[in-house]
Amino acid sequence: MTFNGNTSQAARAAMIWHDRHRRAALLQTLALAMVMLAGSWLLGNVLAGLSARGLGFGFGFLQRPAGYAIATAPVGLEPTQSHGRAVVVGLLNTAVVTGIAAVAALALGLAAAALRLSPNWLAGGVAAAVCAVFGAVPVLLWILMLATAFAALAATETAMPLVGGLLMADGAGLHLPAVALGPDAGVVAGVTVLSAVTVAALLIRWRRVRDRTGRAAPVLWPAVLTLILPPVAANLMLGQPVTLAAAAPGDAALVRPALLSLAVGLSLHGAARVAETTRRAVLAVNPDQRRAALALGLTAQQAMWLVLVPLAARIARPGLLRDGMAILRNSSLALAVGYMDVTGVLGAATLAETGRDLECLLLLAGFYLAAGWLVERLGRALGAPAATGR
Amino acid sequence: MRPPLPYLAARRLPAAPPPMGGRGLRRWLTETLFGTPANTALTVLTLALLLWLGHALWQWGWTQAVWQAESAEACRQTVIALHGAGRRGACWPAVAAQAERLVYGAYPEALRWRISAAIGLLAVALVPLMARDMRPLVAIAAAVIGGKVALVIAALATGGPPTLDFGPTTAILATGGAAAFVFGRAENRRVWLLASAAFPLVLNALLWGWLPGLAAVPASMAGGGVLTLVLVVNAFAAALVLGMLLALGLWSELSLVRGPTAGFVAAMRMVPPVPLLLFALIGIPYLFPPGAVPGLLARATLVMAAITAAGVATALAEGLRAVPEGQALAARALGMRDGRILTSVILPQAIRRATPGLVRAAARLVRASTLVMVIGLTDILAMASPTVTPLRWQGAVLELYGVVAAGFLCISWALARYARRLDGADRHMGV
Repeated sequence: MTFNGNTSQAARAAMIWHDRHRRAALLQTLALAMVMLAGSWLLGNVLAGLSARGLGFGFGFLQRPAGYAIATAPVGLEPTQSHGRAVVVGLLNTAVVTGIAAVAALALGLAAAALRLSPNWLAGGVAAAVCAVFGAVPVLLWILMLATAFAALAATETAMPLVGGLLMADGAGLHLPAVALGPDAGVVAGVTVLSAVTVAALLIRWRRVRDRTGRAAPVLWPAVLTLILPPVAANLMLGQPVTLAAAAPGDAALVRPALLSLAVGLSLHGAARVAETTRRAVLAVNPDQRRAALALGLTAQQAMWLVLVPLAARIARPGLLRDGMAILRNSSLALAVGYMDVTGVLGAATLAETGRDLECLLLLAGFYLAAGWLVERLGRALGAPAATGR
Repeated sequence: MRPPLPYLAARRLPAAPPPMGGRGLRRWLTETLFGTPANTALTVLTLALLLWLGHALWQWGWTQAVWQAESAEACRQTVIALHGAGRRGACWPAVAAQAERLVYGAYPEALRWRISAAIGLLAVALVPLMARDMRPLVAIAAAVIGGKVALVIAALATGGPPTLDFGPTTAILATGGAAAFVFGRAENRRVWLLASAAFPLVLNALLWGWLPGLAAVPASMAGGGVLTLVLVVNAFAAALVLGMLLALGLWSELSLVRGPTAGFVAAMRMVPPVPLLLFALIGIPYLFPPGAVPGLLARATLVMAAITAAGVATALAEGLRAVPEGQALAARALGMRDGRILTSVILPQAIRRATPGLVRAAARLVRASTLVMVIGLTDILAMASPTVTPLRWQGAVLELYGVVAAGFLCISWALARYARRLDGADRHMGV
């Protein structure tokens, strides 16, 4: 852009606006000024509010005794223990419910996706309808409905045995069977570890043989049998040092209704998402891949497990990570049923106990931001979404 | 002889058996339902499950259900008396008794015509957003009025007193339908869309009585379906505006604009709604000088709008990125200014590509709006919960939750289907 000497004042002003670089600088300065203006106004209000609160600002309260109890096994909280420990307990509880729900959602979701993709339209249709119902209704409604159902069970005050008495449901929650360990339990554990190591070694060897010769040995059943048979045999021969006692009311291994309704609700809602993600990923694989595999002489099963599933898994990975993240986010609904996850601790109990509202909310947001950032990094480390084979 | 590569076949494979014969129904059944033993077992199992579930639901909701009772306990006694101990049946009188509270909350009874009018206006406002021309509105109005006339005729035929139930909803639908019939062609869609854009303002003015001559209603009176409606409409309207600004920020080449915008969007996607709603309850009052703090519903709406705006911005930014660079260059070559290029060339294409994402964001907002009950707002879900239900009907929580769930299922499913149809339309657009 060249100008010949005498440009008028108006032209100069227009020049700033029409030159992209100058305009960018101007706009950015304006944006920065606006953000700073709004920020300073908000900060001023916050500081005024803090001084009106009269508590100051700081995180020293984390070392003071909590004054309330959390009754979750195995790590709970006594009223004399600190708020810091309460936060740790809350984080652990969040991890527990997210872990349970994520594993259950993955298993259920994969099964539902397999049904939806199967040629059996009846089973596929039922699976699609179930997924639509669990995906379209707000997850909070499922959780509240389950909590109500458990409360109704508590009102009848009768214990309901499930799975042949191994599990016991009553008003206190779901009682898990107790594992009784005898004197020779260590031997059984040793046998278990040994068979696991054997299976791992066999798997490695089989893979080497397959890579060298192109012949695939049957893997699944020998591995499963090697994993299960020796420990069971050892247990029987030594006179059953490891037994599974039927659950009874009053046992320590108790899943409380809050955790149960939260975990079941999150798993069902998550399973609907996982099913959809997986189904889309499988459909995104080029159908020619399967035809090519069949033309090479692979059986339908081999084409499925050696070609389609690996390709689909790569496509599904980012979506599955997102679904897991959604389960973590939804686990904050614990607040609605009184399960003490990190939101229940920082957003309700500790906040009410100390009156340090801003500090607690900042910590809470910081935790979720850190978790989200970590998962995002994990996703990036696992690799970008792969080619669809198209 | 050993082949040169280990995985190549060493000998000719025997010919495979010919593909399955037969045709018509039999072949279709073999292919889909009864091909292999495993598939047959799956079919039988699914059928058994369907029958069992259907029978249980039918029994609970129809044959063993109670239609007239004074309380949930009376329902239970009736079921036991008629069908034996341990049997369960739905208690539908609870839903009938609670229906008004579910829908209207504590909204004053004399002013409920405003909500009826708002529902009629909502129907009028939704049509131009979801259809190319206004013909669906004509169909809706004709169906509603025709149905009412049919009811009158049926009453006259059976000798009963004819009741012409002609409320504000019908009046608005009739007016809107007539206007759509005359003026509803596709080329007038722009005008209808502008009218739709005014709907949130009209809704608020109507509900809170902002217009002169209308009695004012405090926000604390809103509850149930009214609160959910107002929350969703206001939050989505605000989210569209905020999301557009955020999308332009994400798309911008200015790092001082893009960085903070991306940070805000990421934060809204990572922090769950419940802590953000807690922030609305406890944190936002700190941001305002005392005395100027907005009400709880407004704060919750703000937070829901911010969450939804992140989804809207992501969808729009994807749409913006998908517009080919040549479009802007061509427009510049034609002599358009930058602002004009944005509003006339880039944004229309971006919005078109982003529409399925916007509909999905709306569906997510409808589902997430239930979370406001965590901070003590009584939305439609909270109105169904046992803490709000009067003692008399407290035994019938499953029925109330079931009705609310069915409502959410319909709305959410319809939105998802609409988004999928737009996906398909997008593919056919050839872009």
